[in-house]
Amino acid sequence: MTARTMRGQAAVAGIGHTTYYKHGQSPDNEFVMAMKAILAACADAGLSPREIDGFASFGNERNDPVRLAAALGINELRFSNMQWRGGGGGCAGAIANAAAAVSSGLADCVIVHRALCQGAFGRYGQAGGYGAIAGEANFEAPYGLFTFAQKGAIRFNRFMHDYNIGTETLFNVAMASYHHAQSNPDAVMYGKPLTRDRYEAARMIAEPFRLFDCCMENDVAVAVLVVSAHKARHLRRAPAYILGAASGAGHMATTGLFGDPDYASSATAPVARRVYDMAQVGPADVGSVQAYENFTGAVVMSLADHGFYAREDAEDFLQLGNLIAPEGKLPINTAGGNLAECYSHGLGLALEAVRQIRGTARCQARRSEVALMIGGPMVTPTSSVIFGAEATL
Amino acid sequence: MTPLLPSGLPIPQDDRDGLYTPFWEGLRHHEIRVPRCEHCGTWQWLPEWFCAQCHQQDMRWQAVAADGQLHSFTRVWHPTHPSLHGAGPYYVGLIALPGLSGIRMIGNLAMPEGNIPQIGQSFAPLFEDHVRDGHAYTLLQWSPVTPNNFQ
Repeated sequence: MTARTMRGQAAVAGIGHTTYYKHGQSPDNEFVMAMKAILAACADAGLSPREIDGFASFGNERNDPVRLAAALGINELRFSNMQWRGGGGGCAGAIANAAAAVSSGLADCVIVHRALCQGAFGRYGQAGGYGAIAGEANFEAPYGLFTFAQKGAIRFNRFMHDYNIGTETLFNVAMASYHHAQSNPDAVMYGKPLTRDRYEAARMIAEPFRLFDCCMENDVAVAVLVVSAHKARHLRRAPAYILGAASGAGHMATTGLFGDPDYASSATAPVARRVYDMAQVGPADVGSVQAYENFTGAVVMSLADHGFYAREDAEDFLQLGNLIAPEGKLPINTAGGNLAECYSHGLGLALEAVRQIRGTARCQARRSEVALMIGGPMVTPTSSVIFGAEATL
Repeated sequence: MTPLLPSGLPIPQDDRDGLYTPFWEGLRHHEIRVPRCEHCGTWQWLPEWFCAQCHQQDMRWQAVAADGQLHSFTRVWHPTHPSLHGAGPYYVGLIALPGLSGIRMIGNLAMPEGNIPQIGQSFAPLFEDHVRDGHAYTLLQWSPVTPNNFQ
C-alpha cells in the first residue's frame, strides 16, 4: 500500500509582499494590497497570474477568492479554501491546504494570501466594536480581558511558573527578531535596534509582556504561490518543497482559550509530531525556524513543543547566541519576524522560510536545507510546515 | 462593594440560544452553576448542549462548592477599552475549581494593597452585583482566602 503523504509533492514557487507599513499608513486599501502581493508572487515565480486556479487563506481574511479571481481574470477557479478560526494559528495550515489541493489534483497553482490593514479595520491591541459581545467573550470582556496579549500573558505566566523562566529569556527572543531586522531594509524596525535598556524601559502591556514582547500592528499583504513539484522545477526559482505540513489541536485543546488540558503550553505539540512524521525529519535536521511571535513567551513554548529542548531547559537553550544567523545553533525569525519585520498574521514567516531554502535570506542560516515555520501558538487550530531544498527529496 | 473595574465594560449576553443563561442566573443568586451530564456524570466547561464524553443531550446545571485555586493570572497595565483609560492596572485571574476535572474560570482578583497573587493560592468567589440600563447582572470575582504578604 502506498503511504498517504504529500511529502515533496508540492512546492512554493513564488513569494510576494507589499511595502511593510505601520498600521494606518498604507496609501492603498486592503484589497489593493492583496492584489499587489499576489502579482508580486507570480512575478517572482515567472507565472502568469491567469494560471492561478486556487486560493487558500485562514481565519479573519477579508479578501475572498471570488473577487480575487475576477480581479485577476484567472482562467478557471478550482479551489477556494479557508482554514477556520485561529487567527494566525492557521497561517501554516493555509499552506498545508494549498499543498493538499495541489498534491491531490484539485488545483494546480494555489495562492495563499493574507492582507491585513489594521489601520482601516481595527487594531488587535485595542478592543474594537465591543457594543455587543459574542460567545466566549461573555466570560472575558466584562472582566477587562480583550486582547490576545492579555490572554496569552495568562497562559504563558503559568509556563514561566512551572518551568522557572525569567524575563531575560523573553528579551533574548525579542532581540533575535530585532537583531535580524537590522539587516533587512524592508523591515518596519530596520534602523531601530533594540537594547536591554530600551526593552526594560518600555511600558508594560500585560505582565509579563512588555511592549517589545508583542507583535506589531501593521498594514501589509503577503502571498505564497504553491504549485506541483513538477511544475515548480520549470519555473524561475529553486523550489522550496513542502516536506511536511500539519494543523489542528489536541483533545479538548479547543475548549476556549483557557480549557486546554495541557494549559502551560503553546498547544502545538500534536501538530509538531505530525509535521515531523510527514517530513521524515526531526528537530536536529532543522536549520532555521520562523516561529510565530504573537508574543515572545509563545516562542519559548512553541520551540519546546517542537522538540528543540525540554520545557525545563528553555532558559538554558534560549541564549541569544543560539538564536542568531548564521552560526547560532537554531537561528529564529531571521528577517525580523512579527516583532520587527512586519505582522501579517504570520504568513510573512513563510516568505522568509522559503528564502532560507533558496539561500537568498539576508541573514542566511548555516544550514539551509530544512526550514521550519510555526504558525500562531496558543490559539487553536495551530499549524506548522516544513520546507526542504531539492537535496532533501 | 465597589466594583473592581470601572463601569462601561461590556455586559454579558445570552447570545447562544440561551446556552449560558443558567450560569448568569446562578451568579445573580450568588451561586456558581456548572453543567454536568446526567447520564455519565462528567462536568463540562465551556458549556455545551451535548456531553463531550458520552454525547447525550442531558446536561443539568448544578451549584458547585465555591473556593478555587489560582491557576494563572496577569496584571493588565495597557488599557484596551475606553472605560479603562486612567483606571490603572488590574488583575485578571484564571481560577481552577477543585474536583471539577480542569474547569477554570476567568475573573478579576481583589488583592489587598501590597499583596500580589501567587499561583496555587486559594481564592473565594466574590459576587459583584451590577445594574446598568435597567439590566441586572452579577460578575464572578475572586478574593484571596488568606491574604499574603509576598512582594
